[in-house]
Amino acid sequence: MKKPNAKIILITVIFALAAANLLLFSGALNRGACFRDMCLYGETSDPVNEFRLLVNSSSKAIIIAEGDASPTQTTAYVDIAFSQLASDLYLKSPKLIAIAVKDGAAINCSCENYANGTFAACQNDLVYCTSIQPAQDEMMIILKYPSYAKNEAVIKSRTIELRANSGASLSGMVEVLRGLIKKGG
Amino acid sequence: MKSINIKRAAAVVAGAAMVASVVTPALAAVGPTQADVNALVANIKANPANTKVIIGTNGAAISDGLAAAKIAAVLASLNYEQTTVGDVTGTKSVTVSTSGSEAVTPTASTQYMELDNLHGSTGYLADGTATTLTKESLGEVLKKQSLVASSDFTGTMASATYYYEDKIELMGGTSGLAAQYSEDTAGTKGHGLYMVSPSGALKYIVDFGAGIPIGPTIKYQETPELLFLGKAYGLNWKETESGKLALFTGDKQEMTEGDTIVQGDYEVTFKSGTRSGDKDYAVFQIKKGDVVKTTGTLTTADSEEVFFGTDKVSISAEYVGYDQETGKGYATIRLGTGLQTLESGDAFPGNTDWVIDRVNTTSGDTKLLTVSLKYQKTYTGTYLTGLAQGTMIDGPITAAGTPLFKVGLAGFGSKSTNYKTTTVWTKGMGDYNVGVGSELIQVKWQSRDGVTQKFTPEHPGEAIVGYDDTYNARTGFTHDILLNTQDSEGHVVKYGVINDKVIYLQSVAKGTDNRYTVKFRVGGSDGELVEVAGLQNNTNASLVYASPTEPINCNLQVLDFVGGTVDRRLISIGNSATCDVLPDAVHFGKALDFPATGGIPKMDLRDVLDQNNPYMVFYDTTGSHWVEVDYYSQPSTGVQAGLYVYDDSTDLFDQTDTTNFAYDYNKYHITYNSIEADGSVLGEATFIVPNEPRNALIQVTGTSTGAAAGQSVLKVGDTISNVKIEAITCPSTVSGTYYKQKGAISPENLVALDSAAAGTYQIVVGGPYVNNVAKAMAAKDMITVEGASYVYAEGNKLLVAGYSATDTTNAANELIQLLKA
Repeated sequence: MKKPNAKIILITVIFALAAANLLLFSGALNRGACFRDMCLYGETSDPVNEFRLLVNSSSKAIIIAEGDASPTQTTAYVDIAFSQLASDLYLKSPKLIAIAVKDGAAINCSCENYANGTFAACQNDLVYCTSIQPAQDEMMIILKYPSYAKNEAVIKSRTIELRANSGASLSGMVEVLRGLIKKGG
Repeated sequence: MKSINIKRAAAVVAGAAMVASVVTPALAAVGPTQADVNALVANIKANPANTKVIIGTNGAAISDGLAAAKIAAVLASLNYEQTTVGDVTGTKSVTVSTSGSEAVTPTASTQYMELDNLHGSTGYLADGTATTLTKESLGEVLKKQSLVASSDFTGTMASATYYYEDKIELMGGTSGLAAQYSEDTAGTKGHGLYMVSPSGALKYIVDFGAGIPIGPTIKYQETPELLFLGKAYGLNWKETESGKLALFTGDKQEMTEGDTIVQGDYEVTFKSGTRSGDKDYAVFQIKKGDVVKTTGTLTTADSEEVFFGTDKVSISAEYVGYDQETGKGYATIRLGTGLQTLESGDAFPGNTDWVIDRVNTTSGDTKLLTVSLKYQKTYTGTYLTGLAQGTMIDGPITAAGTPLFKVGLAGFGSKSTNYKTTTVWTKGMGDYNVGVGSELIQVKWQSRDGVTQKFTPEHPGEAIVGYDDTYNARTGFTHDILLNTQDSEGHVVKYGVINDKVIYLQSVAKGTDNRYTVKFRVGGSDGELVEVAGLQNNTNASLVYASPTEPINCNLQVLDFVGGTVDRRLISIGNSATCDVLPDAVHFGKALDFPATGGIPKMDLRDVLDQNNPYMVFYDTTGSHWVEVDYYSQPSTGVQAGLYVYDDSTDLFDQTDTTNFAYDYNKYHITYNSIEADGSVLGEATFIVPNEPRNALIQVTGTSTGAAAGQSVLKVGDTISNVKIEAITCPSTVSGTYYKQKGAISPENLVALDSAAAGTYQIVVGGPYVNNVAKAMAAKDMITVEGASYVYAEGNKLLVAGYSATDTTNAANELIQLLKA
């Protein structure tokens, strides 16, 4: 009997989780908005609208993704989340930064700037990639290497940092945020 | 970074035997041929919504993610086109509903017109030119409509479209519409503006522009239909002529010979149709009850009144035709209550106050040019009945039973060189029974810039308001207020009123340089400080006070007199256009009336002015040209209440001497009231004096029928109350450059995992070791060669991969170049 494709099952579960990630509660108690598989925290008591406002008030975006230097399944999911965000936010002329991580440490990065309909390399410098900050009209999304205990997205200083416990979870978290953007209009 | 585990192929597999047609790309190779890649890229560009970027799940490095992300972003951009538009603004609206059974009544827009050049000492007549309103200024009320007049059978008259539009005209001129201020009160009307107008100064006009053809020689195939005040009429072009408008009334009905229609009590049967020469004829039978009557032979535009006792019905043939094939007649008729012929002076149907003024045609009555109605309400006395300030009269009544518009006097217009007070509050002090000169009335009001003004002299001599003085004229300078003088009791004159504001002289100080610094308070003794420094004796300077609505700019001099032991530093302020020191008089009629039996005194302002009516004055009691606020005792009438300027430079104030009074009481409208005053402070009263200057403001407002309870959609400018907002529509204003989505991205993801690869076109990122879709492609082994970097077309799939991370990145960049080409 052919073993079921574990990857297929896993993927199915991921998207099922994303679909079921309705906002469960939000409140001032923990200043977070928790969905089934992640919680969103911000600097206000309404992080959902805070996130929407961050997106709507930004004319430019910086998307940073941390992944393995060598091919891994974990990073495959990071890549898909990275790509989804790049396509969703292309109108914000995204700066794409890929940071290779090994044993928990960043080892190198690649930076690409979107301008005039195409990409061009920007500063491929690790210091630059890890210390970049968004300007007042920019937003920054950081897909942290998924090695955290809990799935949390934290908004601070025009940056939203996604911390996941697995690549699949990270991909699911991005789906939740994409859903928030679409619903907010 | 390496994107794949390197596995050197020991053997060249079939795929590697495919010779890639390398076209020396800058970044990566393309295959199998450039043309193949170009073709697939072209399809992808044309169908971004049906394209997916496929990422492998066997494993990928972050560099592959960067490559895929770039491709996905560029792919998304293909679905948008940049465009530039001018401002596109939709109509913003709000949908509201009423609560309970209350109807929603949105109001239409309002236009204000001014009748200027008001003049006259006892009344104002407007002698401005006529003013005409059209749909441009009152679009919700006035319409421009079109009608198509059909050609005749013989083709001698072509079909044409004609336009006619509504207008409202207010006649100006000395014999036209006039607004008059009148104190000729009757009953409880009080003072105010009234329209003084002979009949015909207010008109509603239907203007046909170049004109619509009329006359017995005209051959319309069908009678033109016109809308007058919301009701459709057929134009009886044969009968209409100068001074006479002939209309067919009733709703249009189409009939074929033999048809019978029922309208009310009448049954109409199309009895017969015939053709003779180039004319078609029809005969109708009309039945009411048991009585049957037959019309004569009617052709197009013929009509007939048929009587049934005292009742009559009119049948008008809008169109009569005949079909030779069927042998039947065809007709469009109007069944009305009688033929309508309107001449000058006839009330328009549904109206009593609006009558035909003129039916204007071209010479020879070949074209109808205008039909005008006039407001014919007669006037009595000096004002047009019903058209007093604050009331509105109805325009012509429409078919809906409501006036098309309303007209009224909104108040005074915008042109005036006078400044004046607004609300004046007076408060008496002390015992009103004490004699002349012993009591003071404090005056408080709000100037037009909203600042409270307090006129609170503590002694009679403290106040001087202003006077027209040539007594102490100086070359090039005439002062009209003299502050810092003293009365015989030593009270220093500190108060004046300039441009609706209290000017309180706080101090005059002389410096060691022999220059003076004068400090004023504007608004009262505790008002805003204004300092004028560096004044030299008897030298012109300026008193300037900035205000958005009532700035002050006065000629100012310090007049340093030393007379006897008194060192006077008189402050002389000169009257000018920007320095009005002569507040205007407003008569309030009878003031506080203390009942003989005691109790709370009442303010009664209804009486007309006469010499026995008291009023609050600023007047000169000593003959030395000071003006002070004082209390004038009128035992029978109590405390005076009014603003008055006294121009008698010769003598003591004498209330009975009206000939020397230079007051002008016609500038204001006073909202009068019967006000109960607080007896404990002798008397308090508030007088509302409109701050509008002269000229009469005519207000024309469209009316709405009012919506039934339920939802109504309102636009900016509509007003409403007691409603709940159901929805708000705010179309955005777009201008400049924006991106328009060409097609919906469906499904919403441009990126998919290899396990869920779908899409008409697929961009496969990564080689066979990481991407299962790539693994199934024939070109997979090409990537296993060191240094390989390919954009390879295979069916609906485009492989974008390289041997190393850098090679994959190069391939992605090559594809991006092709996509953007």
